Amino acid sequence: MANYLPILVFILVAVLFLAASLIAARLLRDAGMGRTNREPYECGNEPETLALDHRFSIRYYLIAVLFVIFDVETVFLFPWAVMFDQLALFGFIEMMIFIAILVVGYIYVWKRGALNWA
Amino acid sequence: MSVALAAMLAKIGLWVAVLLAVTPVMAWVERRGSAMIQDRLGPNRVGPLGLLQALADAVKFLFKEDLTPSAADKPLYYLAPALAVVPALTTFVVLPFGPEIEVGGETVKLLVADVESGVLLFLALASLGVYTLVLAGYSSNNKYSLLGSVRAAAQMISYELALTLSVVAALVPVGSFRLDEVVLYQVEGTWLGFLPHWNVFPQFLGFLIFLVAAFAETNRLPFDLPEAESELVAGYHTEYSSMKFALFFMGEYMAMATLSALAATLFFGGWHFPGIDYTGHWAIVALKGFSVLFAKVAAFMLLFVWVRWTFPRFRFDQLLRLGWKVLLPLAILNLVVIAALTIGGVL
Amino acid sequence: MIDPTEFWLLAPEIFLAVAAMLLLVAGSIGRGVRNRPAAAVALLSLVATALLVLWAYGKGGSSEAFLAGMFVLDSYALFLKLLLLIATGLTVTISGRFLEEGGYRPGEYYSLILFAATGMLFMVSGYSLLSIWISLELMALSSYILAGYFKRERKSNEAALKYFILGALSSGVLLYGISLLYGATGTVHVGELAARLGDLVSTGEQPILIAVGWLLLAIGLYFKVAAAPFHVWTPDVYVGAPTPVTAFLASASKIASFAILIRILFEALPALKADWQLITALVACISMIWGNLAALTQDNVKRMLAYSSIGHAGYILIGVLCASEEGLWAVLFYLLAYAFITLGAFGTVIILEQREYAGETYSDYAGLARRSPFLAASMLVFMVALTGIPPTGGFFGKFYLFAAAVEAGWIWVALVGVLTSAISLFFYFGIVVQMYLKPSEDTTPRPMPAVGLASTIAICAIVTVLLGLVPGPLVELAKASLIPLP
Repeated sequence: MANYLPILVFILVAVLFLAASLIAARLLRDAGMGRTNREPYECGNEPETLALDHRFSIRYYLIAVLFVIFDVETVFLFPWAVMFDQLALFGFIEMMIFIAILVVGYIYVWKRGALNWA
Repeated sequence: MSVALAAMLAKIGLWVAVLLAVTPVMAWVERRGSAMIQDRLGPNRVGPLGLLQALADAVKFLFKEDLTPSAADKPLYYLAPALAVVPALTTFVVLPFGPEIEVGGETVKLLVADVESGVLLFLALASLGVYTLVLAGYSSNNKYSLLGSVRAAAQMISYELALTLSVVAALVPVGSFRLDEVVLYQVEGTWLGFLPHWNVFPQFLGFLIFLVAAFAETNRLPFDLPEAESELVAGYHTEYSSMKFALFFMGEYMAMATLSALAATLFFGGWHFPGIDYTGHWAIVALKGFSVLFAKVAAFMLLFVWVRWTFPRFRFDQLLRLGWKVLLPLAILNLVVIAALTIGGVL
Repeated sequence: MIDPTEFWLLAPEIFLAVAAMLLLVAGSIGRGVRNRPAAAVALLSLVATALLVLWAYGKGGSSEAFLAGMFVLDSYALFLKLLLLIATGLTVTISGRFLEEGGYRPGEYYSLILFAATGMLFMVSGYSLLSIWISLELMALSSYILAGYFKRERKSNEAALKYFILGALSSGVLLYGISLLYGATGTVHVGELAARLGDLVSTGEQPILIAVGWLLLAIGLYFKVAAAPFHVWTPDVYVGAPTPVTAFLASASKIASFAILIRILFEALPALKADWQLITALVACISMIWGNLAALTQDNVKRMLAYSSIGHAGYILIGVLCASEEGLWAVLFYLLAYAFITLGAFGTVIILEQREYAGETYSDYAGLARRSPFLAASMLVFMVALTGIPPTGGFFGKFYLFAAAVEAGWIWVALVGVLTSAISLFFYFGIVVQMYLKPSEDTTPRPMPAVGLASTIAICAIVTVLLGLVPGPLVELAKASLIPLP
């Protein structure tokens, strides 16, 4: 636990710097013109709809889901990588089978076009 | 005050001081460097060679009017710039900048946090950078910001896979998450008799994958579509001004420094350079180690600047294609090959 | 460390999984595979897997758990694996027409069915709560996608979404129960769990942890077998899913879920027998009453069959709660009979469907006896079997179950069973009345000319009648496939 204390101190120092800069800016800055330039920027036009009313393309969701799948694979690869020498050949072959199964899924995803402009 | 406590405060102080100085220096390097590449002058009025330009910028940021859009989601709006800087700074706690030194009878490790999960902590903190983009874009209530942030988030998570896999491959011959052990692995011995035992030589493919993924993770050209001015005004930080914008700016350079330092540590031997003797008084050793590490980080940062002003920008679909269809299979292949070589006893 | 040669005992599952993966990749390249070749490959791999099951059992079948105690290949697992493979094979034969008519990709469909079958094979031989749970998830995830396979039909999407949400919730509850039991005893291995639970129950320690743990575990399992009051997903999913998938869910998925329910209750929780017997009795009664009463008011045949399957889950639970030999082999016999009856009944529904959801209302069966006497006769056999009238397998199944309940002393449960069986006569014979006594009109669907489908229905009908005439051999087989009683 003592090993993690420096991290906390470091974070506090970083946050301190952050706070100091923001407070300094607030104290030193210009008062501002008021309400006219508070509207969302749209290159001069007045925005007609709220930004959040727009729907997203589902392709972004697909990227996120595929990322989760392969990230979980990576999570499983981490302990194997550091325990590599103790797991020897048996562990290596087991992990290669694991990666192969995921590669099958990857090939399926690729061939079905989920990775095209996602 | 015990040696351990003093050492901790000194290490933290050193890192924070150096890192906070990175942004002004990088701003100057970027602007003069780009000027050199583009055959023009760049800032040369403020101080000798324009060196005080960054100070002038900082003063400008302090005094500028701070616009907050009226429809913005205030708590998230204020949180996003904070998340840009703090995690990127904190990743440096697990980076070693020298071998173990003897101070007043106690051995002190030259890294701020001696935790078992070194690289994992690093990657976890670096991944928090995605939140910055998403929160900034979402909370600004601006269509450009939202679209820019979603694209940026998609880009970052796509390349995070290749990045993580190349890091895993670098860990396989070492057998530990701790970055000081990774560096120690690269200190002993040589490849082919004359090359230093750095990871980049057997894992060159891994290093290339890491480098490309690092460019994409920091949203630097050629992957800077989310903040390209001709496309989306300024992407996710359209609605930010004054100090908050400066914090985004700083966060971007911090992220560059973070990944450069990781590349230097994982692939180029960290604080080690062949020919330098790391014995003697502890202050000298620490200084030598830190200078070598920082020289490598600086070299990578120069590379970042150089690439930015040389290459055109990727289109979004080209970018995703590269991340998913090229880097990911190559990273998996790299991992399998390195694992096979390690089983075979070569590495 | 694990002895690598023990993996040979998992050869059938490994083979089936590899076949499924190859089918998946083949189905995604270019335009994919066509229906006939894909179905043939699927069937051949199922046959090969069945042969491998027999080989593996001959090589090392025993009641000893292998692979660090995660799997066991005893005669119970053998019986159920073969039954599941037969049920899956029959599902494959009734699916072809549907895929061709709807224009959906066959490669992935058969691949998913094979993956679900792999999960089921792992489930029935699982001997660690975690290996059971993971294989349950494999089966469940494949089923969620299969339920939504008709992408262009809104009902299918709705069915998949409902199944997924409720299924994921129940898997979570199940896992939470497992983790609480792990917290109480320190193990997930079924045998060790039984021993440690025995100790803890006798000394009276950790009563709340154990009680909540096994209760959540049981609830998760009851959900999977579609027992009331955890059955809310069943009607909507059965109706919305493509009918072959419904047949698959109603037969194979139920068999596998009951298999693990029995395995866990008998071999992992014998120390809590008194508790789970009572709860199972209550759940059984609620299922029988609710399922049969709700089916009375249905107009949609698939929905009626869904509620009837809830009722049948109740009947099977009667056999489970007896915790006796008679109960156990009665359950195995009934699962076998029920699989054939269900597959045949849903097959008849499919053969009438000309567009994706025709053949579902009672009136679609009007006058079937004149249009196609063979189909009407088969449907009559299935309805009679479901009610439990001789000479069909359904009769003997219910007979043995109720007899076991009476012998074990649970007379009131058997009584509920008999009464609800009597009630079920009304809705099952509603179809029979339509078929034989009502005239057909121009708008009623005609059966499709599909040889594979028709022969599957015929096989199911014949087997059902055979089981009713000569149940003996199968009863002996069931008696040889028992697990230790609690």
